[in-house]
Amino acid sequence: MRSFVLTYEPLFEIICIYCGLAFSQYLPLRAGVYSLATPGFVSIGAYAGAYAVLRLGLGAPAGAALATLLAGLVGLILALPLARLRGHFQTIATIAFMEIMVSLEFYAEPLTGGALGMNGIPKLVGAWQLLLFVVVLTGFLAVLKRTGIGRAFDAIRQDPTVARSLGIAIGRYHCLALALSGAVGGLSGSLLAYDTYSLMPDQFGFGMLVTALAAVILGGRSSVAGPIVGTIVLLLLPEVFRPFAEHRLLLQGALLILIIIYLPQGIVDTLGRRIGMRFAARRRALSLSDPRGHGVPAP
Amino acid sequence: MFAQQLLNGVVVGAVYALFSLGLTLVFGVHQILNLAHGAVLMWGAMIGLFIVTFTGLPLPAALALGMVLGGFLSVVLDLVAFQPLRSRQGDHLTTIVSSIGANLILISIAQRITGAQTLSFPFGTFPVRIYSEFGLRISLQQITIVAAVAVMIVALFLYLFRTRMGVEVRAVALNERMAMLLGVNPRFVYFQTFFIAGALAGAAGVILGVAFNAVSYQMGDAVMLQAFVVVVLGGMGSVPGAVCAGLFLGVVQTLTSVFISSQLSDAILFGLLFLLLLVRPTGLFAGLHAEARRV
Amino acid sequence: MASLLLEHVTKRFGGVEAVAGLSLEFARGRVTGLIGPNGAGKTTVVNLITGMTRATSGRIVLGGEDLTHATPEKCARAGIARTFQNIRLLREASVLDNIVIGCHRHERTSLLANLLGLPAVWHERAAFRARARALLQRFGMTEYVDLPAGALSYGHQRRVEMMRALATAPDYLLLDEPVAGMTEGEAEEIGAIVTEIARDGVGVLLIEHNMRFVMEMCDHVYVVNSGRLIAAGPVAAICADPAVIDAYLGS
Repeated sequence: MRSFVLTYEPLFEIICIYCGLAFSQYLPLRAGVYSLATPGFVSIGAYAGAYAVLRLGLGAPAGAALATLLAGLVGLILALPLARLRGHFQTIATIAFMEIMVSLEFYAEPLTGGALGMNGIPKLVGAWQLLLFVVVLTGFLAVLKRTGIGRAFDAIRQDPTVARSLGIAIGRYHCLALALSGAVGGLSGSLLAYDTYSLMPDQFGFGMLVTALAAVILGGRSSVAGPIVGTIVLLLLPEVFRPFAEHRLLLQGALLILIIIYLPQGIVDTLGRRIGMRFAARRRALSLSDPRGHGVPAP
Repeated sequence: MFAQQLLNGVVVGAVYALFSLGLTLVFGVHQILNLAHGAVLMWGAMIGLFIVTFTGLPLPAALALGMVLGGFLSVVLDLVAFQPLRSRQGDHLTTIVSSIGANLILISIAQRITGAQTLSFPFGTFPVRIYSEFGLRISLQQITIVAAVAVMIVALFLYLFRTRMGVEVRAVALNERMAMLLGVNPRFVYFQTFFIAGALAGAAGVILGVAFNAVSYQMGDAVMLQAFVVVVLGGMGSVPGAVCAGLFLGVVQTLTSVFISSQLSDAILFGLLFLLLLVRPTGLFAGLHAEARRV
Repeated sequence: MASLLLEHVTKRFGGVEAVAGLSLEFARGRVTGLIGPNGAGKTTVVNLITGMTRATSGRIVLGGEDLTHATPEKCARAGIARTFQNIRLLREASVLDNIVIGCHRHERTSLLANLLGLPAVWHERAAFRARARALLQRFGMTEYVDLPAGALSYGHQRRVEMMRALATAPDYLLLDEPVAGMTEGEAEEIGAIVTEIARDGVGVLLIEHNMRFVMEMCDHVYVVNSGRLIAAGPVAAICADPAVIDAYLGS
C-alpha cells in the first residue's frame, strides 16, 4: 500500500496541477472566447511563483497569490486587443502571445534564468494541498456556472446576437473570462513550480497547449467535470497503456482528431446529455399523463 | 553589408511567400486555419531528400515529386481531418483542433523515421557557384530559388484569374453555398485548393532543405510563425498580399537577426504579429474573401 | 407616456436603400402593425430600433433619449425587446434557462458577489426562475420547463422566444412574424397574450404577413414598400387604400 502511494503520488500531483491548466483553458471557451493563451498564463504564474520564493524570500501562499494576481492582470490586459478580433484571428493572437512569453522567458536571463531556466525550487506543495486546490476550483466553477456570470457566458457562447439584444455587454464578459483564465492559469503555474524542481521556457509552449486543449476537448467543454475527466484520462493513458507512452505524440494527435469528429462534445457532456434526455423524457411522460399535478391521471 | 542582407532577406522572403500562399489560399477560400501546413512542408523536404539520396534522380525531379506528393498529402489531410467536420455546424475551434491533431501525427511519424536526427542532402546536390555583381555576392542557388518561386507564383496567378477552375475557386471563396447553386462542385474545389497549397508547401520544403542543407522533423513548425505573420499582414486569401508580405517579412527577419539579435528575432516577429492583429487584422490587401470578412 | 419615434430614418447598404426617409411612431399601450411585401425593409426597421444596424441618416428617439447610435446593449437597457424572424434560441439550454437569461438587465448583484457565490446571488436566481415559471404558466407550457429548447416544436419555440423577450420587462416589444407557421388556434392564443401585454402598457410593434392576425390585433398600421412609407392609419382604412392593394398585388 505504502509503495503504491509513493509510486503514484507524483502522478496524482501532476494530474491535479493539470486539472488547473484544463480549467484555465475551459473558462474562455465557455464564454465564446477562442483563447489558447493558457500556457502563457501558466508560465507567468510559474516564473512569478518561483521568483517570489527564490529571490524575494516569500512563502508559498504569498508566492501563489502574487502569481495568480499577476497572471490575471495579464489576462485582463490581453482581453483588450482580443475584443476587436473574431474566431480564427483571436486564436492566432493568443498563440502569438504564448510564443512571445516563451521567447521573453528565454531572453530575460536575469529574471528567469534564460535557457537554463530556474532551478532549485523547493517542494512546497503536496498531494493534499493539490487535491484541495482542485476541489476548491471545481466548487468555484460550479458555483459560477449558476450565477449571472455563468448565464451570460452561456448566452454569449451560443448566440452573441441574442445576448446583445438582451443587454449583455459582451466585451465586459470577455475581459472577465480572460482575467479568470489568467488567474487560474497563473495559480496552477505557481503550484507547478512548487511541485517540480525546475522550470524551462520551452515547457510552456505548444506541448502544454496540446495537453490542456486535449483535456478539455476530450472531457467536455460544457460541464465542470469535463476538464477533470479529460485530464485524468489523458494523463493516465500512458500509464495504463504502454504503447501510448511510447507513441505519445502520435496517439495524442489521433485522439484529438477522433474525438473532435466522433465525440465532439467530449465524454462527460455526451454521457450527461444521454442521461439527461432519459430523465426529461420520463418526467414529461409522467406529467403529461397528469396535467394538473394532483396525482390523478387525466381521463 | 546592408544591401547583401537585403538580398538574402528577399530570397528567404520568397520562400516564405511560397509557403504562406498555400496557407492563405486555404484560409481565404475555405476559412480553414490549417495548422498542419508546416508538416506538409516538412514532408515535402523529406520526400525531396529521399529521392535525391536513394534514387539518384536529379534535383528538379525531386522538386517536382516533392510538389506532387506534397499536394496529395495535403488533399488526404483535408479528407481525414477537415472533410468530416464540414457537414457539422461546428465553431472555429473544431478545425483548428483537428489540424493540431493531424500535425502531431505527421510530425511523430517523421520523427520516428528520421530517428529525430537532422538530415542533409548528399554533397553536390546543388552546384556551388557564386557571382560578384553590383558589389554583392549572389549565388546561383539564390537566383534559382527566386526564379523558381516567381514561376510558381505567376502560374498560380494565371490559374486563379485566367482559368475556369480558378473562377470556381474564387466563387467558393466568396460564398460556398451560392457557388454550389450555380453548379460549382465544392469537393473538386477543395481538392484543388488543398492540392495547390500542398504542392507549394512541398516546393518550399525542398527549397529550404537544399538551401540550408538541413531537413528535420521540426522544420515545419519553425516556419509556421512566419506564415501566420504573412497571412495576417498580407490579407487573408490575397495572393499579391502574401507575396508582398512574405518578401517584407524575409527582409525584416534577416535584418533584425543580423543587426539586432537572433534570439529576439522570434519575439519581435510575434510582437509584430500581435501589433498587426491589433491595428489592421484585415491586412494590406483585400483578398478573395474580402466582403464577408468584415465583422 | 413617451413614444418611440423614428424621424426620417434612412438606411443604405452599399447602393441599396433598404429604408428611405421613414418616420414612424410607436406608442405604449398600443399594438402597431408594420406590414408590407417581402423585402420592404420591415426587419431592417427592427434592426435599426434595436441597434443591430446603424442608420445612415435620421433619428431614433425614445422618450427624449436619442438612440440613433446606441449599441444593442444600450437599446435593451432602454427597455426595447424583440423576437427574431428566424427563431434564435439557445438550443442546448433548457426552456427555463432560455427565459431566465431574459432577466439579465434586472441583475442587481455585483461582480464580486457573483464570483464569491454570496446569498444575494442565489436569492436573485430564485426570483428570476420564479418569474420564468410564471411566464411559462401564462403561456401554458409549464411541463416544458426542463426540456432543451432545441427539442420543442416550431410553435412552442416561438412562444419561448416571446417569453424571453417578456422576461426583460420591456417598454417596447418588437415582434417579427410571431405567428408565422402557426395554426389558427395557436395564433389566437398568442393574440390574446399580445393584447394583454399591450393593455399592461407595453408598446407592441407587430410585423406580420398573416393579415387576419394584423387586422384583429392592431390599432394602427404602417405600410411600407421598398423602404418607403406608403400608407398609415387604422386597419380599415389601410385595407381600402389603393396604394396598399397595388403594392401587394402589383399592377
